Amino acid sequence: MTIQVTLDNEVVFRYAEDEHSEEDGAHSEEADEGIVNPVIPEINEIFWAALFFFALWALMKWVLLPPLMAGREERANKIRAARDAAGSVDADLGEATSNYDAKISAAREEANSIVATAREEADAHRRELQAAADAEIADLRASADGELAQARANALNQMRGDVGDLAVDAAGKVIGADLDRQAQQSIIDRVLNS
Amino acid sequence: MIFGLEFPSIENIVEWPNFLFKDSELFGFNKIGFIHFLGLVLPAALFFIAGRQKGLVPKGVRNFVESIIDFIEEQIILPTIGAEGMRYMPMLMSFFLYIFIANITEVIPFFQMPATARMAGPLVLALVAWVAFIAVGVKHNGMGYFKSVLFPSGVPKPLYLLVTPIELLSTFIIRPFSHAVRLFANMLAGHILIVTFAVLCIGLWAAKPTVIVELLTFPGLIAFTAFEVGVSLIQAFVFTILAAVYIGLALHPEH
Repeated sequence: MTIQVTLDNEVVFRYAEDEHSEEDGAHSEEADEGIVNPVIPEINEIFWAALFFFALWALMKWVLLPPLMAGREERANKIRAARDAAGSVDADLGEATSNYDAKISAAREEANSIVATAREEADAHRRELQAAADAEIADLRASADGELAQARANALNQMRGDVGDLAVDAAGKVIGADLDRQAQQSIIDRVLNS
Repeated sequence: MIFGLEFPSIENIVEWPNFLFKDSELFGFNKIGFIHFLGLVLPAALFFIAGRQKGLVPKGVRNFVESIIDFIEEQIILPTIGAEGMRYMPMLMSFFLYIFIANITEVIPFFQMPATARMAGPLVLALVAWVAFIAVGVKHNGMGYFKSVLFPSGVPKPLYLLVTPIELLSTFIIRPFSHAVRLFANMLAGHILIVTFAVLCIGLWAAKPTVIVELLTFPGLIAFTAFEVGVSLIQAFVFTILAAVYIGLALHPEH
């Protein structure tokens, strides 16, 4: 294609076919009349388009696609197998986990049982010790009470003798005579007991 | 002639002279034929290199190719046909890559022509899809396939007078042409758009007083070129997913 700019600033495109035709001095009849319908297919273009398309289709079907599709299929199978294996491992893991959980649960129950038994034994022992301590305390208290009563009685008897002596002496000095201590004892006892 | 610019006529932007077998009407090999040849060679080379790589973990080219396979599987086959559609992977993969290569040459320097902007390629591919879905329908449903398409269940019998001709036309006659024209027209329109902006850029650059307009046309050309990259991908995807939908409908016409 060549471009010419005329004196009137007009741009004219000239095409190889036109130049060739002008050189030969013979335009095709179709070009002369300007009758070109681009919708009407050319027979030679149909031939080559069909030939190359069917060749590509045949190559795709029997040569080019099979190894690629087989590779994809092989990869998909391997992925599927690996996924299945992973699923199996998951199942094993689940089983092991449930076994572990069951053992942990049993151990926990056993530990709880041991703790409860120990607690009961400890409570029983504590109760025994408490009872023994209470009994000992009661014995000690009873013993102390006896000793106290005895001391009190002794003190009272001693005080009674001393008071009797003082009273007899005092009364003897008041009346100016010796009083019999034994004879006045009953009076003294009656006064002290009242 | 518009604004002093002579725009090329349609035959100048879509027709290419033969450079092999120049005189043969059937075997004449031109730029369009060469692009179709690339549509065979490039995907084949890519997949061949990817297929030679060993190991479970894809890397490099194989990673890229497996991404394409995943894309076709997850975005086209599974949503439209289901898992049983994997047997159509070679055909659908061929559709996608062949069309993409034929489209993307629109923005590749020295090509700058989508082979799909010529009717031949889209028509061939649409006819292949048409034959494929009818074959799939007959294979899986016998001749009852035609009955289930032409006489859909649940329609009152008097309406068959209306529905059956419509289904006949839309499914078996118009479908391959709409399938082809959708791709062809999109790519031809994109090609004309880019050519128009390119001509504007060249013409306005030559006519210096109007160079200021270049500030609009050249970014426009860049933008439409980028846009056509997306269109190339989307049209390849649309054609392929439609073929998959037709096959899925043929497998289960009751749906």
